[in-house]
Amino acid sequence: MLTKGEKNLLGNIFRREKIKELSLEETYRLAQETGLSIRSIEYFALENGIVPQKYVRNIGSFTVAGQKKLLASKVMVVGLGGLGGYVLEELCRAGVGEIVGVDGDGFDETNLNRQLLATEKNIGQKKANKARKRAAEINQAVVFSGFVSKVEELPETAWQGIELIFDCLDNVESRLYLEEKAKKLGVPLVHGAIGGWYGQVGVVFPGSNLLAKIYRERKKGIEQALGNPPFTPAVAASLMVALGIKLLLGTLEKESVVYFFDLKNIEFFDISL
Amino acid sequence: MKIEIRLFATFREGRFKKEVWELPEGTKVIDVLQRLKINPEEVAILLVNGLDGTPEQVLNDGDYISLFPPVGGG
Repeated sequence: MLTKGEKNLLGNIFRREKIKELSLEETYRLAQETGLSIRSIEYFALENGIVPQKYVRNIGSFTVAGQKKLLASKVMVVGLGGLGGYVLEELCRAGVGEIVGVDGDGFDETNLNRQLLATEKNIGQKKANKARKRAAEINQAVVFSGFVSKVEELPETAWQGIELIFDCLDNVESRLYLEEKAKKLGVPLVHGAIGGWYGQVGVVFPGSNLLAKIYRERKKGIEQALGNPPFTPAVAASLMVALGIKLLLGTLEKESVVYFFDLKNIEFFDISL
Repeated sequence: MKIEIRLFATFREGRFKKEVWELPEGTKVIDVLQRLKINPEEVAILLVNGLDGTPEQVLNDGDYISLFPPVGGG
């Protein structure tokens, strides 16, 4: 992530100023002084065992090496609605360094009951644009690229370097397209879907064709009748991010899995397909 | 033979959560679906003994079936 020259430059400053902690203010100052990105400075600190204050509460759950790995990771979030809004939020706070967000839609009033990025003031605005603003508000180290586009129409360059994809879509056709695309790229997919009080999350490894199995009838789900209340996407998204982070940290078994949850009866099922 | 049927989410409405049925030898999953008045197309995940199953699968004594509806929202 850093060239040798950049490492020397930062190394000299860290030694000279005896930097043992990295606050936001300190990071901004260093960025100004060196012209390096916030992400590079944080990465350098982690490499030298200094945990930026913003990540202090992650450590213990992630190791310092794990935090460094997350900061060096590049992921894609497809769909920035109910699931995608929360997924983006948590990825930024976790310190996942590079995020590509994709959604062709703008906010409408029916999004207000559950979509973290939707507010009464931004109705009509594009979700990907609001996602960019939100990412910058939460964590300046995150390099966010937003695409106001359907996933099927993304330019090839958008997929470059992606290690992991979050499926936060709301329709079966696009989900099946994404599964195929992830398979071609050889990248794992973290799937999430909701309907009423119910949801499912899972990890799709390339070639398992999990979504093609689940959605073989290519039908709409029970959300058509039950809607999507506020709490279900938050639960599903948090499970997705936990799975995704485990994948990035290499602590998840390479096995395709699906979990189904029922918040009406507070039940959770582990499904083998 | 005894077959246990486990229903999830919306499939429970007007039906049950879990029941054990006495069924004749040779019964297939599709026969159970028909008795439940569930169209196979409505089922997203169909498990027999916790593993991926099919409507045409012939059941054995002691098997259990789990049925999940599709969720596709985001």
